[in-house]
Amino acid sequence: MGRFFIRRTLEIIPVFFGATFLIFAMVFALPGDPIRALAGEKPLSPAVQRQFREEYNLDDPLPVQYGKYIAGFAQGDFGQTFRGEQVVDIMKEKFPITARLALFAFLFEATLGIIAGLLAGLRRGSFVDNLVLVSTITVVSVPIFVLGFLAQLILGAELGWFPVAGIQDGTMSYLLPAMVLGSLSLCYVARLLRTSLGENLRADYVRTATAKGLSRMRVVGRHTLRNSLIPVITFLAVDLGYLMGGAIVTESIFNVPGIGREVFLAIRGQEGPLVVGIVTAGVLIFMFANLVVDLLYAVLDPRIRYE
Amino acid sequence: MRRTKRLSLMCLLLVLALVAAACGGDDGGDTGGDTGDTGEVTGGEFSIQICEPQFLQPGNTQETCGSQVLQGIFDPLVEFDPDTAEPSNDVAESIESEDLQTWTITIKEGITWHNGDPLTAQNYVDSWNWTADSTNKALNSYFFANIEGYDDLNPEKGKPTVHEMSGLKVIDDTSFEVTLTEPFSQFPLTVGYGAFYPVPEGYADDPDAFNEAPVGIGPYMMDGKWKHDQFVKVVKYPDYWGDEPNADAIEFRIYADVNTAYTDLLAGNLDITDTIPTESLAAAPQELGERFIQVPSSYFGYIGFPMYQEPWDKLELRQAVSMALDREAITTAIYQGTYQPAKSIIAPVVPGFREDPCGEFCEHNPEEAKRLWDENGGPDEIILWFNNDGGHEEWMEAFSNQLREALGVTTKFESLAFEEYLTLQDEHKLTGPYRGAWVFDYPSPQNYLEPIFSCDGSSQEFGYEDHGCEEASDLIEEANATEDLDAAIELYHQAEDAILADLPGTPTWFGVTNAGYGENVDNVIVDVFSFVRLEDVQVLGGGDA
Repeated sequence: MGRFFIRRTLEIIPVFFGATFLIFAMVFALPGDPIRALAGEKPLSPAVQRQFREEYNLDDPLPVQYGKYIAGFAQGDFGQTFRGEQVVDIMKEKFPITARLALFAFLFEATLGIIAGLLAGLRRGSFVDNLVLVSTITVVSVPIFVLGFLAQLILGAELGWFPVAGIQDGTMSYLLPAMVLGSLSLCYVARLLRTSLGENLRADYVRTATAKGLSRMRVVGRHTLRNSLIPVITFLAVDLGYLMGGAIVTESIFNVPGIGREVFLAIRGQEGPLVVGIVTAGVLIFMFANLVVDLLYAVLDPRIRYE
Repeated sequence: MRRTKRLSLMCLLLVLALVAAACGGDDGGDTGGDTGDTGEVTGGEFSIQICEPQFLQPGNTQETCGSQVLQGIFDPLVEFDPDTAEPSNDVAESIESEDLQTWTITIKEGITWHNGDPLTAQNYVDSWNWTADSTNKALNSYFFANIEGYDDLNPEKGKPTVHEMSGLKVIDDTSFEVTLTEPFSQFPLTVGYGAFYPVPEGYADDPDAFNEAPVGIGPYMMDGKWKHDQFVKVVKYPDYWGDEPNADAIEFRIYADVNTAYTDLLAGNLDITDTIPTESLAAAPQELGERFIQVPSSYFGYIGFPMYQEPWDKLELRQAVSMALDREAITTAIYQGTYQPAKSIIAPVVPGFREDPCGEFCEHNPEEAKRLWDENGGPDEIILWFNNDGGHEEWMEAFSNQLREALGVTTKFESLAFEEYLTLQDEHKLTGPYRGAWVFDYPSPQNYLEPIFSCDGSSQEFGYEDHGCEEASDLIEEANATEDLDAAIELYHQAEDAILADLPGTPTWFGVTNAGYGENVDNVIVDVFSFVRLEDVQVLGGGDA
């Protein structure tokens, strides 16, 4: 167990360098001149452009640029945007917002998804089962911006149950975007659990447990649900990684100033350090979430052991 | 493509929603149209939609969102009438010159910064020097290019050794002298632009801190810091030198998506938007009634030709393309009449605008276009260039259909990210007609002609400098040196005619600002810069709105 943990932690190092370099190289390879675009259709004095290039090392070849970036990084300098903002400040401001949105979305999809999956899985062929199947397939097939826009118009603008946009109303303003953001995964969770539960309920050990005279509650709760949750947890961990990476469409519709929009704009503006910073943080969160899941497997299924 | 699809779907949804909302009943609470006066002081707070500003610094702010905020925080030396664009002195007491080259600017006395310091001539000189100095990487640097000594601060090689322009001299606390590199009659107009705002003492020590909470001299001062991607809040400055503004406080609310802002406006959570999304324009008049405003803007769209590239060095081919373009069809069908077909370079919002100096070559005339095209060996294929992030796909597609029909050619699109597009344009690598646009910095015909079309124009995108730009450029220069306004405009007209005769680019349409406001506010006036006149907005119901 200890060795497993250490090995997985050490894996983060090559992934970090690989990810930062790849992203850096990709931003480097984007066509066009970011400095020229700063001033839009207005002209920019050549001396000013030169000054920009010099300060941001834009004339250096890729390995030199990357080396300078990593050297700065080692000293705790994440670089700055062309607007002169510190990348670390932007991340400090934006990640908590995305984290909050992701957390609400995650809670929403996990709770409702598991409840729906449980109800459907335990009563196959019942009305509830059909309801879950039909409603999830409907939500899955509707694009998220349609869902977001409809929710905003009906629940926000028309009924006034939720704020239409922005995050000025605190927790309340995160609910609607979180529900929209989590709705798709909710459906996957429900369907995954339903299938997984169905398989496990037919397993020998369940029959044994029932034959032993255990209550239905205990058979399902202790012997079936726990290991049926394994695929669900795997999915949820990956999904949490995605959620933390930000959601451009949902953030735009609900005007949530999260990391998704930031990274989108950063790529468009070819803000190398900002893209690298955000994406690398995303990669690390992703890896961490997966590590936690791997450890969780052992808790859920005693048959799983780590070397 | 994805975006277009998304937009059209949203459009559909929004239309449905609007129909539903319209059926929901009319509350009859109309508050009357705009009166055009400055209104009475009502107190209260209102919110206005902006996008995330790029900067909040006079030296760096050039996009509309940051400029709208600075409008509240600063006052310009010269202001412009919202209807006629007629200039009048604001902070300036006088701007005078004997020879149109050496100008003396005197500012009014008794104006104070939001931190209590008095406004001095030195503040202006410091600000302009800072912006012009290439070591500061200020985006507005080129505005000072015609002041003497600018080149020393922007050397062709290496770093500048001096950090002050020789053409700026402080005379006393309230006046300073500006020496230009050549006579320029329009100079008093240029200083109305935001790049010419002053900065407080100590600004240069920490411009980044200023950027987060700018200190100005205008009717409103910052209330806390700029909350990125969320809002900028300002409150009335109690010691403001001018007329008291009507509202007590303003929240500039930052939206990433104009559709969201519009929905918020309809839901009553936002008071003013100056960008109604194109897909909502059809429904807006009915939905907002009198609270929907359309005002001509300074936007000038054109289709440029790469004259550096065969066969576009041939005038007749450029004329053929210009005549194949049906401007009216596109402005009505695609833009719902919110753009006006353009047949001139000087926009309607500027003194010296003429209806149709372009004449027959800006008329839709497919037969004549075809004749010109064939007689002059027009190629079989036309490649159309545009940037893919500004919603240009639709009209470019319409334009390409018109070209195919009129000229019998095939067309191809090169749709690029803005960065790449601009770079290729600068490097003269475009191979066919392309979209271009200009928004003025100050209301003068010069600001359309010179930057876009003159020989040493800042963009030099057409390759016009090698293809006979001299005639127009000389005329512009002569006009710049002419003191009498009518005589100058006459010369600008001649320059415009000369450019249209060469047709390095053909006018497409002029823009319109589509604004709307909620039931909480009134007296919302949009000026020719597409800015909402913040100090005039009245909040209905006073402080408890």
